[in-house]
Amino acid sequence: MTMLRAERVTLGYAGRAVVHDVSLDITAGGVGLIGESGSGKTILARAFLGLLTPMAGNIWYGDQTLKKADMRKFRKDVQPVFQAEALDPRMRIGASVAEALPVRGPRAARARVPELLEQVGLDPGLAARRPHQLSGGQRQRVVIARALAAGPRLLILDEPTSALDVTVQARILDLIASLDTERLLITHNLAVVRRLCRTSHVLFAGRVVESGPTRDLLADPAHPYTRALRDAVPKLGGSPPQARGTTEAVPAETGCPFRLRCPLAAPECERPPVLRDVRGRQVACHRAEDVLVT
Amino acid sequence: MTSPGAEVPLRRSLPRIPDRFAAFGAVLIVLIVLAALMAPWLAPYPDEPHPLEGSLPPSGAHWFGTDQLGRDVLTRVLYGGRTSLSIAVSVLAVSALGGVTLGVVAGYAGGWIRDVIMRVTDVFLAFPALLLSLALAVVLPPSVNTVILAIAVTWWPWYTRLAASVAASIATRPYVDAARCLGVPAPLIVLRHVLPNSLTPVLVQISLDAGGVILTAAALSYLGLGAQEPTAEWGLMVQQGQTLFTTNWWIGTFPGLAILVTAFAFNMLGEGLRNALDPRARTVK
Repeated sequence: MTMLRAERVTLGYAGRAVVHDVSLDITAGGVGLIGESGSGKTILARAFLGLLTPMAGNIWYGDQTLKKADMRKFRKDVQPVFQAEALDPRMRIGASVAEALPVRGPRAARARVPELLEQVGLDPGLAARRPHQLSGGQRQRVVIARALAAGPRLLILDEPTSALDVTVQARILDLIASLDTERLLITHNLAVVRRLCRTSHVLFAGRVVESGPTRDLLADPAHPYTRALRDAVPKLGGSPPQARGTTEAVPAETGCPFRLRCPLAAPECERPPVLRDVRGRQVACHRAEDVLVT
Repeated sequence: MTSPGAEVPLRRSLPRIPDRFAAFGAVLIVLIVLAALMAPWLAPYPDEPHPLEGSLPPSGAHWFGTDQLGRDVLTRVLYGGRTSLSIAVSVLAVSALGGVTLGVVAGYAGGWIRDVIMRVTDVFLAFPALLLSLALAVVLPPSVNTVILAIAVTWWPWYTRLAASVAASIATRPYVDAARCLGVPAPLIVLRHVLPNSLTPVLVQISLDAGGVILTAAALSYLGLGAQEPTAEWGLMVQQGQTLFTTNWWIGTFPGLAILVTAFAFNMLGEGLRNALDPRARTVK
């Protein structure tokens, strides 16, 4: 069942749209949002968390839009896991976790904090420390413990491992994979998505350019941008990845926003592409079939 | 394998050691405050007139001499410290409390609430501070309370502006978003997260401002708009000694030096605190 759904959502700041007409469902098995910095992943996550009202379109929570939904229930069901720096630097770890507990009274909250810290693999004695006295990995575990405290059914994870070194990343991913919750994972790290998400959506310049099963997307991308993302992952012993074209996106009204960077750009790319079915996934590219055979 | 709970902390929480000028300023302030607080015990004479001992120059019996009424100037400087420091503390407390409260609300709430608060603040900032203080002090009866009110009215907008900009930045931090996602009510978020994390620059500003408040209070009293006789206040004492400077230089000089040293000490401390807490603003030496 779909717990959260974006329906033709346009988002922006100060009247300027940065995410355009995006529709996607958060389904079981984990959903990944992939894209480079500035592609609109985080702003979309903020909309799913109810922190930002769409300029157009709706976010659906079950059968109600967020505007009409019971926000108490929503806040309990949907929790964010931000980066390790998402802890108040002045609060002790115990107080930070206790703030998220849906229990009344500090005594009841204190009793549950050690249990939550143990659940994420931390020593309950760390409750008395402040964030700067913990390592990055420990802080990330605290952020997860805090999110779990509310008893959510869905976690929205925004780059939960990007500030961590590789070995700590692996442990945090193990922890996330072991949690009994649905998840929307926002990242630019394809390996993380491959591990944790059954479905993925690739964002470029605020638009979904490819959606489908993660395994297919990464094994055989149908959009040149997805392919570029995949090929940009450095390989041990291989030559460093090469950047192509300009980093700027072209306004979508004037054609495909990726065309200045696209190795397959053709005259038809001056028309805006629309999402269409191509071999079991949705792709916004005039030349998707050509991408698949090259 | 190392357990996750045993990972090595990346940062330690040692406070920065302020530079030696700031440390010197802090020591001076402690001494000045202690001297003012302990004036009844430290003062060599009661703060009363002794007509037979008027206008005596500094000597072993009267280190800072006596004024025209025979009052010991050292005694008056110690008691004057109480008045001047009380004015500074009161002005800073009232301005910071009011200014920071409004600033944090404006910074966190944003939108029309911020616009209304900041436009009112701009109106107050548009007036030259000393001129506005003078205008208020002229309208109200001269007293210590008038000085406090007159200065506080011109001082709070600076704290509002500072607190609003810091709070607006804090309001976008992920831990504030995380609290919103938990459904924590806005007033609690402000009290629990935004206010405590906005206070550091405000405290630095307070320490930098203390010297300025003491100078402004002294200026108002010097003009006869603040403390009145027989209250000992440094600005008033300078004014009383000014006309006699060529013959009885000590009457105005020692309270003037007290103002100078106190303002200087607060500036040194404030500068040091600012450098310690915000290395980008560090003064090039």
